[in-house]
Amino acid sequence: MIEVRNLSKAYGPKKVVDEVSFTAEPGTVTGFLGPNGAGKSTTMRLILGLDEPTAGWASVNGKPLRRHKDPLRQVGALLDAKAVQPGISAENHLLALAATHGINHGRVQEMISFVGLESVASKRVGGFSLGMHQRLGIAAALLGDPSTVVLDEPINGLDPEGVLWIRQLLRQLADEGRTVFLSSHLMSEMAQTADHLIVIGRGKILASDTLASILTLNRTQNLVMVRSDELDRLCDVVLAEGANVRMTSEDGMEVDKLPAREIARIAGLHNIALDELRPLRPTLEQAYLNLTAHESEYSSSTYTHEKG
Amino acid sequence: MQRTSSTGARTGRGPSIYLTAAGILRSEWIKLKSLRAARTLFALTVVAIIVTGVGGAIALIGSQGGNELAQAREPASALHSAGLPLAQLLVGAVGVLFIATEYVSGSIRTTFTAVPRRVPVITAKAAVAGTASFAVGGASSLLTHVAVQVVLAASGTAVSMFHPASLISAVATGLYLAFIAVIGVSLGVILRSTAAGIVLLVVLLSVLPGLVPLLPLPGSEQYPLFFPAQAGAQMIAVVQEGLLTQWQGGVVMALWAGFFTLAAAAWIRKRDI
Repeated sequence: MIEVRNLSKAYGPKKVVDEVSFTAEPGTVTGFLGPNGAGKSTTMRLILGLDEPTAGWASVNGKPLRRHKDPLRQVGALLDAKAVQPGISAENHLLALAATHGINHGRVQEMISFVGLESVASKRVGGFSLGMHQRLGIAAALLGDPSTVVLDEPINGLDPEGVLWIRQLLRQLADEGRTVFLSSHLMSEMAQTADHLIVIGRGKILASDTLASILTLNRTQNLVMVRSDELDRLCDVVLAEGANVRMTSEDGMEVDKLPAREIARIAGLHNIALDELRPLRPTLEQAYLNLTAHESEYSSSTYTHEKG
Repeated sequence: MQRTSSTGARTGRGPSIYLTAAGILRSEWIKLKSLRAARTLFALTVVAIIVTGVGGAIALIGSQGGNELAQAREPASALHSAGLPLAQLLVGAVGVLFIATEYVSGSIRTTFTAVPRRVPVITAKAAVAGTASFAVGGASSLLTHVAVQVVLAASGTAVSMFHPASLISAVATGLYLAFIAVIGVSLGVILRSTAAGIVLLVVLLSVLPGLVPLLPLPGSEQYPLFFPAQAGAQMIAVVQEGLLTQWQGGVVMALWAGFFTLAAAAWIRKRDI
């Protein structure tokens, strides 16, 4: 379990983490979602005791990591998969880490084969691909059989097979009763892996809830996707009914403020054939953009074509 | 490559594991053995000590001939440490990069997550780098002493293979290099950079002792005697002369190493990594 209370970290006047409080529970995959620069990695370093907080505290399984007698049994972390001495072999990297806690050679071999690195165990890590680095990082994180696992952007740069592997692994770790805490800026990934979501923007917690509640709470629009050969004519008539439209392609548009059923009725009335009429489900993307609209450090403006 | 069978999950059932000082020492020993640059620098240290010593012996024969045994006696018995000016920089560099490379690669975060108190890590690094430097320095120095006597014997100038003062001095040479490696580790902790650490080591060993006597302080010309390189020279001297005895030179060196280690420990405790 990870508990974070009123945690702040400032570099000079700039507050990177600002009065953050949350709990990551055992048996749950907790996703930590936010744009780049939102304070995710800093929060993780604070939890692991690598950075000193300006105020507040973070604890792992009841006390600060520093006060545990068996840190590797308490928490396994993967912050940056590339952060390994390039000249060391995968096996020696794990053996050095294992030695600190007197973890035996057998466990090291077990983890090497678990992540599928047997064939390259004696090779220099410097020649590893990002995917192999990630696997080595996972082996290192799980070496001490930790009850809490902290992973910073674990699927970054992985191939589809690797992504699937990590996703199933995280599920399995949570099902085994461990606390799984992972960060990502990829909403689609979070939607598939996380049970509980914590959304952060500019150092502040914007939402902390189950995936379902975040989706329903942040539903601001009821968009309907419409495609038709006579888009211009259709556009005019729905605008006349008070809807907002956004052109998405040559023959397609998103309609807001008018339910699909109503659009179908109007189209029928004017003899306009529809190629597609599809209510858009609220996506995490939408909810997330809505939450972080004012919070992302760098945002690009979007071009919308409002007709009428 | 795909496996979802088992994480080796033993939560609550597995054997207990604990962080121990011996474990941290073993861990750092594995890392030092795996550090290619350290192996290269240690190899160069061996070469520097042996080549300088034996080369010096050969030069001695050429310049003095076979009869002037009395004059040859003293310089010959100190040749095992003639390579020290170079060797100290090589060994100091091992100490610096032993920790600085962890900062550069980022592996320091993994290290400090496993050992969140940090200070045991840097003391273990100092102990491991110091012990390895002692072994490498002491062994090459002893070997050089024997080789020098063999070379001199060939020209009929040999003193003694087992000159007691020379043997003690050879061991002291190893000990001096151990202290330098410990200072190197501390500089690496504080500066986090291999280059900066080595530059500062050169300043400490070679530049400062030359500058300090220029200070307008009473007795400032005596101060350089207490700098590492000079105290080290007393520590390994075969013939005792100068302000410090062999033991006092050793104590001054130990104080330097202790001072740097304490400074590094204080520095690392609460620093952001």
